[in-house]
Amino acid sequence: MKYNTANYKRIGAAIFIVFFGIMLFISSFFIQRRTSTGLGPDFFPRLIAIVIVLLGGIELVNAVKGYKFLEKNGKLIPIEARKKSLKDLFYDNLDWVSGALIVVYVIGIYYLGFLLPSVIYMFVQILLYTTNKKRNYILYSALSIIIPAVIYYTFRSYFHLMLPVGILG
Amino acid sequence: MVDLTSIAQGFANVCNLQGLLYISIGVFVGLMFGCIPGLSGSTAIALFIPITYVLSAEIGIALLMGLLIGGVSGGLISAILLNIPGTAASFGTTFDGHPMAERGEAGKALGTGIVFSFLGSLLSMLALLFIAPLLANFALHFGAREYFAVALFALTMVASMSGKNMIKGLISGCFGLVIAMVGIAPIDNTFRFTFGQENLVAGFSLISVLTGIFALAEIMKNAKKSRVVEKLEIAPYKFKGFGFTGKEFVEQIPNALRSALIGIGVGILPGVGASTSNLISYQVAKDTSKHPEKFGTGIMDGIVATETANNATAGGAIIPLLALGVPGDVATALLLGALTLKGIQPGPLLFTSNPGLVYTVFASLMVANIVMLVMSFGAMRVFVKLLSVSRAVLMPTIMVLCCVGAFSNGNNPFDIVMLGVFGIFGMLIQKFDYPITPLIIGYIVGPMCEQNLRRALILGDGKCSYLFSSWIAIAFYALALFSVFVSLRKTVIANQQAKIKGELAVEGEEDL
Repeated sequence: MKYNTANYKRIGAAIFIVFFGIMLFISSFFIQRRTSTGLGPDFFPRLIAIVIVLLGGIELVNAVKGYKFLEKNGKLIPIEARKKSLKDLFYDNLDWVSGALIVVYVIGIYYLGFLLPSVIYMFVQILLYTTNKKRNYILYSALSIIIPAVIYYTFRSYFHLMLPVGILG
Repeated sequence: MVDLTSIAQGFANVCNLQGLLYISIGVFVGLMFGCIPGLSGSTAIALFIPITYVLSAEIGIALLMGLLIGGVSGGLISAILLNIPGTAASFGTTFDGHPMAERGEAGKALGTGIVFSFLGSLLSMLALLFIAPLLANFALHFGAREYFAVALFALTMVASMSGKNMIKGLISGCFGLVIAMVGIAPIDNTFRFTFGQENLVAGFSLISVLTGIFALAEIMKNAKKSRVVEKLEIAPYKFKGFGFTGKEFVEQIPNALRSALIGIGVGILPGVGASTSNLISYQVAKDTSKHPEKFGTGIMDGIVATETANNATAGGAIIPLLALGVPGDVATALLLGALTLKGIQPGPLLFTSNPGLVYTVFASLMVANIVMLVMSFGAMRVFVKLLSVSRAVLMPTIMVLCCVGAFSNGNNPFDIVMLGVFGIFGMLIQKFDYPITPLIIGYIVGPMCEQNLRRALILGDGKCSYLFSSWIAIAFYALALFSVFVSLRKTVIANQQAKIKGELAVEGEEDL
């Protein structure tokens, strides 16, 4: 019988942590030291790397024990019987969709400046927050333009913060 | 002992038009963030740190203290009217607050919560006034080894904030330390983990890390929650005076004093915050009450215990912040970051080098507390209205403000990109059930820990024995060991109880 990937989430995270700790340990050897005596800037990263590997190892053992316990007692989460539609997947992962939107937004600011990406972001994010509500597109459009514009001009004129204008500047 | 001239200077710094205006803005925004479930006073502080750049140190402090007091006090509004605590610090207030509201005594419940929040803050400020200078005076004798021991103690306290899995909390704390390592290393100024990126030479921007992990992750999580239609039923309320009689007030004084002491004590301990103190004091009030059976049915005692304690904790946490430069909880960790960005280094030396600034913190807290009392009663209608403000508009607005905040740190769009990266990171670690509070503490305390460890070892010619050559340091190591032991014991007992009851966590049992 196949099981849901959620069952392996904890084990996977623990393996990643051990791997991260090992990578941190190795990379600490590439830190250039300016002095040959005493503790250098590589000491603390190496110490923390060792602690991370140890803690990750304990967490991995606990995760495997937890998995075995659930398996023995037949409490593992079964795999979904029905394949989810794209729409269901979208709604189930609205947090990640918002995350992706935020990533696009921050990169957008980097290249296009503050105002335009903020207007687009606001509008799309409001739509993502109202997936099961009656939408008022005119109101949302107005708010998506007014709010970033007010923030932009307030910070520019009152706080003298030159928000990025990007390639459109 | 109490420096009256500096206290007067502190009050003079904030008791002017600009100071009062920014304190009022801080308290209002803090109450707003505190009362809306899903937002918190800490988020408000993170969001407003960039605003303090353009303000003088004194006015910046006034704004931040307003946010702190407002943030911790606002949680009671939704706890009582909605049965949803606005912040974790007001969780215990739902036990008796909402039953009172359901009985038609919402006004009395709110009045009790507000007045005793005020008293809790007031008592903690008196403690701050008397304990902080003593502690700072004592800490003047601290050297690198003692500071390392203090930082280590603060880091071990993350174990107590780790929820059900201590190991995950410690790992999270280590990740905070790793984030803090990026950039220029202390003492010898070597570049570390910058990957040739000029933007990383100064390390990750504090605002990007804090708002990313704190606020952005919340915006993403709320998008998913928005699918669940919540019909908010706000209980009606009506104020008549403070809502309770003078006799009832007098009866509650022992309960309030006890809860304030618990709150202050918890606040002074690094790492344990108001989310713990309100529950401890509720339990203690119940255990010492003549009518414990009435707790949970809607009595004043429960609200008095939780609201006095959570506000006292917020004030208590300022004591180690000012006297030792060690944050007591997330809010004070953010305050420490904000003060450092303004070029103020909290710690014992601040008491001698700039006592006016120390007492500006005290004066700001006092004034903010009074503003909170007046505003909570005067503008309750506004805050209740805010409970029904659409999350769909509020959350994206906060995101846009976060970007402005991240940019304002160094006028560098790269910091906005890093804000997004830390937002995703914060979301990811929470998805895997790793707590974020230890990460924040690790990130803030990490540099202090490393710098003092290396300095101490240089002073001791590389010998580890030097770290143990001071009684103060040994005392802090003992406290660190004790805190780990207590957390470990708590987790083991919780797991054993779960085993006996046959309750299986999805995580699997026998966790450390």
